[in-house]
Amino acid sequence: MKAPEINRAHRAKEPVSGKFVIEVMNGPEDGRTTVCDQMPITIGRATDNAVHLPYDHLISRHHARLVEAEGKMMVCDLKSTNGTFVGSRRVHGKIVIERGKLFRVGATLLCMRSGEAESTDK
Amino acid sequence: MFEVGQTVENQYLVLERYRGRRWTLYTVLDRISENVFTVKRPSESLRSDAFSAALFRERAKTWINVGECDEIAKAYLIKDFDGIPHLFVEYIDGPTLADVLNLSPGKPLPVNQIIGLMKELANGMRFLHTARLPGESIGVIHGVLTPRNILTIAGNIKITDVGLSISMQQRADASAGSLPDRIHYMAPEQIEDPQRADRLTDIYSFGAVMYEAATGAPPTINVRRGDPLIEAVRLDPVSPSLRNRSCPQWLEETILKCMARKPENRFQSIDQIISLVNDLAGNEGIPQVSPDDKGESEEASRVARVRGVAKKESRRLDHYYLGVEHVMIGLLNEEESVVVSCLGDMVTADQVLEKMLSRLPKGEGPWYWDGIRKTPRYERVMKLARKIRRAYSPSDRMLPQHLLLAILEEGRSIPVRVLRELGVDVGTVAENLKREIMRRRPAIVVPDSGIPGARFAGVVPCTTDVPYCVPFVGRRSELERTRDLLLNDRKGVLLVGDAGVGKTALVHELACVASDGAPALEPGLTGIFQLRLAALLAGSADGEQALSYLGEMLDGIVGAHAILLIEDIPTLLGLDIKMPARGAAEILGDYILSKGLLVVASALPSGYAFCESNYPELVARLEIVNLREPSFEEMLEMLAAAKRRFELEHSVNISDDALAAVLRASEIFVSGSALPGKAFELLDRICAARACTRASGGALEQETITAACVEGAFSDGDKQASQNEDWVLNT
Repeated sequence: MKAPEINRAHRAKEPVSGKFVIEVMNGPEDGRTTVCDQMPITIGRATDNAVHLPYDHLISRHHARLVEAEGKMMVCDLKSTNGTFVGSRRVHGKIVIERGKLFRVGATLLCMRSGEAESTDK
Repeated sequence: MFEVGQTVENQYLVLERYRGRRWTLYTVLDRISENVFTVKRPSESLRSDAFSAALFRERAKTWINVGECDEIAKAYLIKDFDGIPHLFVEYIDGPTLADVLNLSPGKPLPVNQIIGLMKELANGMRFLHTARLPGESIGVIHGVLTPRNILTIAGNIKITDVGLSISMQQRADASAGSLPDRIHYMAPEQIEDPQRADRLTDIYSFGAVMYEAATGAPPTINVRRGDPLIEAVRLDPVSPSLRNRSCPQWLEETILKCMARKPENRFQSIDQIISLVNDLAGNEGIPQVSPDDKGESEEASRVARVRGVAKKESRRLDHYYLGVEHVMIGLLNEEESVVVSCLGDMVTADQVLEKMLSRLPKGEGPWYWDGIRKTPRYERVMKLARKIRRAYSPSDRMLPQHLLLAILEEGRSIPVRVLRELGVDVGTVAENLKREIMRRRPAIVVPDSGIPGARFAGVVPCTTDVPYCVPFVGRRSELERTRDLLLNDRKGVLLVGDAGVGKTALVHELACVASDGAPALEPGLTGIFQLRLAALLAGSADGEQALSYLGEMLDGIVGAHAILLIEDIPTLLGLDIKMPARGAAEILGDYILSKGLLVVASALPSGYAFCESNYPELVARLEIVNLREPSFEEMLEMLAAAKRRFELEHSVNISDDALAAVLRASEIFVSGSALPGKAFELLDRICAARACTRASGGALEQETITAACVEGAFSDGDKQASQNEDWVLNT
């Protein structure tokens, strides 16, 4: 299996500040953080996603989206094949998610928090 | 004098005894607290008059009051036995720095170990020099720091004999015919005036110890002509780089500044040395250690092994990338004790491993990476581990502890999340580990006994002259019989004889036989190893653990084709605390019967009777060799063999008539041990008193012995007084 290319255009060399930080919490990209300034944040295997996760084959090309509504963070599943989960609960439509709480897309655990990241993709 | 196996005041069981020039050291088990202590009894020469005895008490009290420090051995209390002060000190299970350096004479320690040693020594000395004592006084002077009073425990150092070296004895030593060992470590002004001891003389001694570590030999006293003491005062030490070409310049300069002839040219405080060493470490001024250094490569290979397991696990799980979780699996596999000791009894390694594996995603087979891919978190953790290593151990390679601390401090990886789920307070664990890294990092590498898994056995050296022991004279028949039983018949031996009859000398002679002639009879025989009962008891948390360690040690002895020596076996078999004696007897019996363990044990006649009545099965597996009391002529020969040592030590001349007189007198005036041991004890006492008073120009004649005994100063009690006159009349 050939390793997919990481979208290097999104990689920042210096620490950057941002509103939202998405951190990968397991798998080959464990510890990678992506900083986004604005919502919505798209997550998927395709390179046009804000959070691009090329190594997890259980993730759909456009798998999920993070949105902000009425001051709350919500995760929406984009009709992915293998689903989006918060804890053991599969997301149908959208669901509120607390900052710092883990959610799973495919086999990859992600965590969204606010603040600054050390070395990130953007 | 106490004997091994004796219980003093119904509380302190004597486990071991070592007699040195200045001290007799006992290792005792306190039956009440169940702790093991070292008890220091000053020699005759250190307590021969009221002033010396008072001085000893004064200095011992200062040591007790100095407080606690990782680098200083703790002194607890002074207790009088038979009117003689005995100092109770922390038991330290490890060799002295001198023993470590003597393992490779002339060979310097690796640079990283020198730095470690320097830091620990400097910390200990700073603690002493700034200690707050009762009565507003500040600071304690060590006196003379030498490799002999620096003990090691698991590679860390403990300074002992705090303040005890400053005594009248220094002048006596300096004026004796032979140079005492510690003169190499004494500042010039201290050699001229042995009473002088201050912070700057301590700094000189510190430099001299570091000199030996850096060059493999103590600073040379150039004894070419004239008075060696004057030479020592006048001459500068040979430059360390002339003895060790690889000695770094910064180290040489530091050592030579410590050892400057004039006190005002030395470092003026230990703090100056500490800040210099820290600066060098911070600026990377300390050269890198060569990769062929054994200690370094061992430490480095520990982390390399962890990484190796991590990679293997990654492949096994079809992950084909290297993450923190794989490193944790590596740590749990290769360094379980590090992880478990850090987590305490909160969770087990198996629990962590099981839960972590359940959290790992299924692998997707091999990716075609360029090499193995490392996760960003792995890179972050390794960077943090390197930072931790630089902060806490700048001269060392990375240790598994650094890796574990980095994982805990990073705080977001799978292993840490798993620990939190298991209820572990990760922050506290990290703090404890940080303290542990700062405190327990070994400064030097201390070689073990050479037997795998046998921490509690020490080599019995082949030597015909064991200090302060009855020399081996005659006894060929007993030696031959013991050798035949062990090597031809492959049977264990129990040496039975009174205290002072010469059992130890026979064992050392047997060690020579085992190393010389025995390999022909018994191929692969590696020598005699003595059970270190005190270390075994001190190192065990409970009886179960003690028995488990005993079994491990016996496995090591059997595996190494060695002979086990158990000095005074009734002490082991009479234990009622710390280790179940019956369990120990059963294990020993099993190993002798089923695994072919070769044992040499010793016992007093009363101890033999105890063993025979309580452990008949074990005794039946040992052949008894009785050690008779030597003939008068043999005993004279033994005394004559040791005469030179007494003369040198006490600066006296002993006539042959005096030896015969001592033999006759000891029969009457010394109780508690057999001849010839008690003759040696009496001779030592009289020589010490003679050396102290310098009467008759230090000569020891028959008349001197008579006079000393009639004075009654050396009798064991008043009950002997009436016998004095009879004895004088008979001689």
